[in-house]
Amino acid sequence: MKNAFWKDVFRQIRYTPRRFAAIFLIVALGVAFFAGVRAASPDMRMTVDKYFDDYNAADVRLLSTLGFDEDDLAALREVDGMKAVQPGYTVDGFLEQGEKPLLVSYQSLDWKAMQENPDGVINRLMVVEGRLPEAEDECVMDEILMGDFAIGDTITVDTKDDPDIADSLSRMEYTIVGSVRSMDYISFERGSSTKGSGSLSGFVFLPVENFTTEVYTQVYLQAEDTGYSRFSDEYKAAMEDFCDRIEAAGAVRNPVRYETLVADAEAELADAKQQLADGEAELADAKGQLEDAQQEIADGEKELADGRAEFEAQIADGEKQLADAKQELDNAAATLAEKEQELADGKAKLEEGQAALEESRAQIQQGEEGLAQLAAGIEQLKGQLALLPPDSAAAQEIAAQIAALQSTYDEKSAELEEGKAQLAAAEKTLEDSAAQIADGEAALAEGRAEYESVLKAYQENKEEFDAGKAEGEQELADSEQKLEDARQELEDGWAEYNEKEPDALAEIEDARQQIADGEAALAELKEPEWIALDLRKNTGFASYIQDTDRVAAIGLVFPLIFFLVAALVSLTNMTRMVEDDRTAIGIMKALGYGRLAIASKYLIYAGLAALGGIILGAVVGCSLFPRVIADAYGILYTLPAVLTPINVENSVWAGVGALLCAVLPAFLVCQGELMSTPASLMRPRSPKEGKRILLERIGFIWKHLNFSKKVTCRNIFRYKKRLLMTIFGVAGCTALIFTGFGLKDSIRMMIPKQYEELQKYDMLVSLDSEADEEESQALDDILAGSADISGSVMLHQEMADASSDAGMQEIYLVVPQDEAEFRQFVTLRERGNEKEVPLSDEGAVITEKLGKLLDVGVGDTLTVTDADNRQVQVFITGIVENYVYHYVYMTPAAYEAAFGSAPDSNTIFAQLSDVSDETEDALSRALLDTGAVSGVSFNTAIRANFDDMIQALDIVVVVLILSAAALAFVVLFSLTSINIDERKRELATLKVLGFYDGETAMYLYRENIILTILGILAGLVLGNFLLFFVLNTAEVDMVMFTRETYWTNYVISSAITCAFSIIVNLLTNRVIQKIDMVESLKSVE
Amino acid sequence: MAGYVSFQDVTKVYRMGEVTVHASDGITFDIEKGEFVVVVGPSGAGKTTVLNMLGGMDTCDGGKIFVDGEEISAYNRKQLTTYRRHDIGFVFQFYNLVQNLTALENVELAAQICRNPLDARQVLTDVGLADRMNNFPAQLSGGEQQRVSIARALAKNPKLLLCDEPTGALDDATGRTVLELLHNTCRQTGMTVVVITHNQAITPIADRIIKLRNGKVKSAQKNPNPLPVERIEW
Repeated sequence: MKNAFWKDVFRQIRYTPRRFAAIFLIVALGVAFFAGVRAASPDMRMTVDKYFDDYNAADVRLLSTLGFDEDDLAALREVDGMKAVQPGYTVDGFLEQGEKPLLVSYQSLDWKAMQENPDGVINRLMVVEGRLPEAEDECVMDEILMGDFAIGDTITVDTKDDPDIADSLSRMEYTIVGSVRSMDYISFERGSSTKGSGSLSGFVFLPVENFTTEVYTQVYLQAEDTGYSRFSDEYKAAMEDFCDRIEAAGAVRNPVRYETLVADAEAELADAKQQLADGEAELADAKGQLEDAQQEIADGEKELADGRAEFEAQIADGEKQLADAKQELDNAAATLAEKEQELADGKAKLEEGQAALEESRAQIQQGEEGLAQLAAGIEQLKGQLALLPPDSAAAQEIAAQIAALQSTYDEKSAELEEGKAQLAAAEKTLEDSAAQIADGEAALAEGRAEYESVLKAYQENKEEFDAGKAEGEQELADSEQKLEDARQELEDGWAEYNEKEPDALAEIEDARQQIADGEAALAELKEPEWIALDLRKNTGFASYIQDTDRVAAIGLVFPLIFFLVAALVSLTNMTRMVEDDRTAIGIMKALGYGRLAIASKYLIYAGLAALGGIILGAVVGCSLFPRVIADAYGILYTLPAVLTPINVENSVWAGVGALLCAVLPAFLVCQGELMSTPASLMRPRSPKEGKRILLERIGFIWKHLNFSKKVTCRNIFRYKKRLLMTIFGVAGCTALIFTGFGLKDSIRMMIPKQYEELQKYDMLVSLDSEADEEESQALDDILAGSADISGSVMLHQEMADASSDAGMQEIYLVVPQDEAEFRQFVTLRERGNEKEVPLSDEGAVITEKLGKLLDVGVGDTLTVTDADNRQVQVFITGIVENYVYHYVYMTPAAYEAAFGSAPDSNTIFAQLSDVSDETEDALSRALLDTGAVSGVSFNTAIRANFDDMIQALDIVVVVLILSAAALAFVVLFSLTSINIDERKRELATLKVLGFYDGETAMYLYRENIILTILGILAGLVLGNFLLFFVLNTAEVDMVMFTRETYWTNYVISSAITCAFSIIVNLLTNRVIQKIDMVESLKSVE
Repeated sequence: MAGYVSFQDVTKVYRMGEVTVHASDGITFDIEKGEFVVVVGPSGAGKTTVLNMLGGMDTCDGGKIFVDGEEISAYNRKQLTTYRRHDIGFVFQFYNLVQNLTALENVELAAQICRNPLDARQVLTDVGLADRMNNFPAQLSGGEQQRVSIARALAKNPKLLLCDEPTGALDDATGRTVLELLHNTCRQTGMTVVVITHNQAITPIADRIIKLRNGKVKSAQKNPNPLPVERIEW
């Protein structure tokens, strides 16, 4: 094309930036919204597909009622279309954590395989943080559990609450080395368990070596690649076939395995019984030994006592003999002493005699000497006499003296002689006495000698006796000690026995119980059954499919509105432009340009604007909308960030559509003009005629309108195309906002309705079926006594499946003991008229959404399958209002009639007078402490969970509102701009006539206001339809949205639309002010 | 003494890029009340600029403009609007009728906003459109449309009636009747009428003729013997 031609095109763009921008923006918006919102669902699905591919996800998770052995695995490998088989272990158990252990699923991880051949591992874990285990005592933990744990922490498997887990795991302590995501859980739902509260908090992967279970508990299966997305119908069909083949293989394997199992179990039972017998015997032996020992000790004691008595007698005897001997000895000693005394006395007397004798002898000698002297004296006197004359007196005197002396002498001599005789006698006597004494002494010596010898004998005896006694005593003490030792030993023995006995007995009791259980189990042992769960049976995946379906549904309607508006906006703009260029077209034609050449200017103009818009829209839309929407849903899932490639298919469709919307109107408008002759084109086009409008014919209304209103009315109808577009654009905006708010409200209002009006209880207590009297009493005490509990009711509640030809849904089967009492806690009423729905013994009352999903109503029957796989037909007697989950209510009689057994009361609903966190915490702990309660849940928590889910939709609502705002803005701005352009001359004239700025603007705005109001009204009607559609498609199976629309939504959506309209009008006000009055002087082009 | 309308050394300069155009280069003239004035000059002489400034649609860069003793050159935007609203009646070359309004409504459109409007029907009757009142502009001939335009200006009962090439889009005969209408209005109601035209032929009917050339007043003289409209030829 010529240079000048292109210049013309680009100048056109430069001189009409608003028009170009309007087309560009509306196309960008339309394409962004269309391609973006529609891409959201495929992008979300692709993200999961890629995630699953990257981590080699299993197609089927196979479970068996009795596990799998190697033969089973071999059989599985033979299944047609099987690509890979990977067995593993899982066991539910508790994890120690603070006061309340967590119930988690322990799963096996073949970490060696992960190291050696990671590509071959099915359902590889995605490591969020840290690493995979590299040793047997390491583990990785569910990402959502990591809030309470940190990498490096040691976790402990809780064997206190669940001792059985020791049968499945060999090690109880592990170090956390990482947090992971598993393909099995893409939502936050972690599944249920038969243990504890029944609701798993998360999973922990332990090295496979630690599992001691004999058989594999699950098998991951991978089918040969179908080449289809996991979300496709083709994949679904392929997997259904695959599962059928697997289950067919199971049908072959299961009877075989049953036989094996029975044989094994019997052998095991026999062993166990033998062991039990052995154990009992052992215990009895131990007791027997102890008793023997006790007997021995008793004997020993008796013997000892005898020995002691004898010993004591002997000792007494010996002592007595010794005493006697001593006595004798003492007597002998006394006699000896006496004799000695006598002898001594004799000797003394003898000596006395001798002394007397000596004295006598000395006296005698003295006498003799005296005599001699006397004799000598006589002689001398005689000699003197002889010399003296004889008879002289001297002689006479001497002769007298001699005579006197002679007489004395004679006397004395006689005396002496006597003395001598006496002396001789005394000497004689003395000699006798001396002899006697000598005799006595001899006898005494003899006696003494004898005594000495007796004494010596005595002493020897005594020594002997003492030695004997000591020895005897020692012997006795020794015996005593020995006995004491034996006694101690026995005591210890008893202590040990007593200590161990209860355990041993308990063990025996256990063993017996186990045997009984084993026997019972064996009796109940059924043929195993394989349950093949493909992805659609995975809770997380299934809800993801539904969520993406919903997003797709929203993508179906909403973008269409945008597209229609985009088409209208570009149509108006192009029409206006071609009309503006009328003269130029005429000139071109006159200059000899061909029709196509002339038209191509407008086609290129429109095409460029559209193309730019398409590119911007596709790029921004395809990354923005899927991301926002996926992020919103991301709250509900643990998934990698959404992939947002340019969605080629949608973008191309949107692009082609947008291009057509922009170019086709341009072409059509051109065609109209180009048919005219150059001459007529160059003449000013006759202005559009004024016309009377219908309203003028209704005189009584028209007459009551003031002048400006009449003008406005007529103007509104003057440009019908613009009228429709404005109304449509504004209506679209209002409808989108209304739908957004309505959607939010409908979802939000479910919660108060459900948990305040329908389920009026605040707390649900699950009872422990194994609680004893005392525990139950404790529970009753709390229920009756706690100030926080204002009322409670007992009932039976269980999870079950309800199905009909239309499908299957998970339900809660609720059987109140006392209907009247129950009604204080749960409202059973019809929606709308709030009429109470009575329970009947004839059948069940079901909730509304369940009825809708299963396509059943009052008078139909429903199949209910309970947890024990009992399948019964239930007649439906009523349908009640309910928004969250599905419930089937039955009277006890109806339950018994259906299931053949009376319902047990396993649940309590209670109302609380205070629902603060602290109260609930304390109450929950108190209730669990009684031992009669296996779980407590509060509606407060359910509300919180639900709030999370609703946040996801809240974001979608915000997206809707923002998009609506953008839509409204572009439409109103573009239309107002065109309006101003078209009526520039008119407005300039008004100014010349002296209209103030405000009046000039109002002249135009009055029309806008009326159109906006009309648009809003239309939008509210449209919004109601749209909301209805969106609610129906966006509703999850598990919930029913409220269908009430609040008047505030009408007000708010109207107000927001008005606000947009006002903003646009304020912006365009400047344009109006700038209009030059000189315009009015110009000639009509 | 200044006249009813007085231009005193009024200048107006337009800058178009590097080119400066002196659209009005020291224009001075006076108009008496009740005069029928013709401002005449070739294209680019500054007629429209004078009209714009006199009509309060544009401001001057220098000099003073007085209308009935008020200095409108000192008016702000709002005051100018008010001035246009109450004091000026404008007749456009291309009539500038609102297509969506009937003849009567077009007159009412102007009449409803001013202080002492004349009765719209009466004015239309006066301009000879008693039968065409409820017709839309598209249903009227050019002369009829211009008469509606004049009626619209008159209905405001303005101090000044400004007419921009009122006959420019009309054929000879029709133009003559329109001029006659304007002339008669001036004569009968004593309204001051200013007609701007490039057509020299009209000048004889004027009480005062102001000739412009290159933004300057070439001559501004009173016509002592204005001719009736029937007498002129073009």
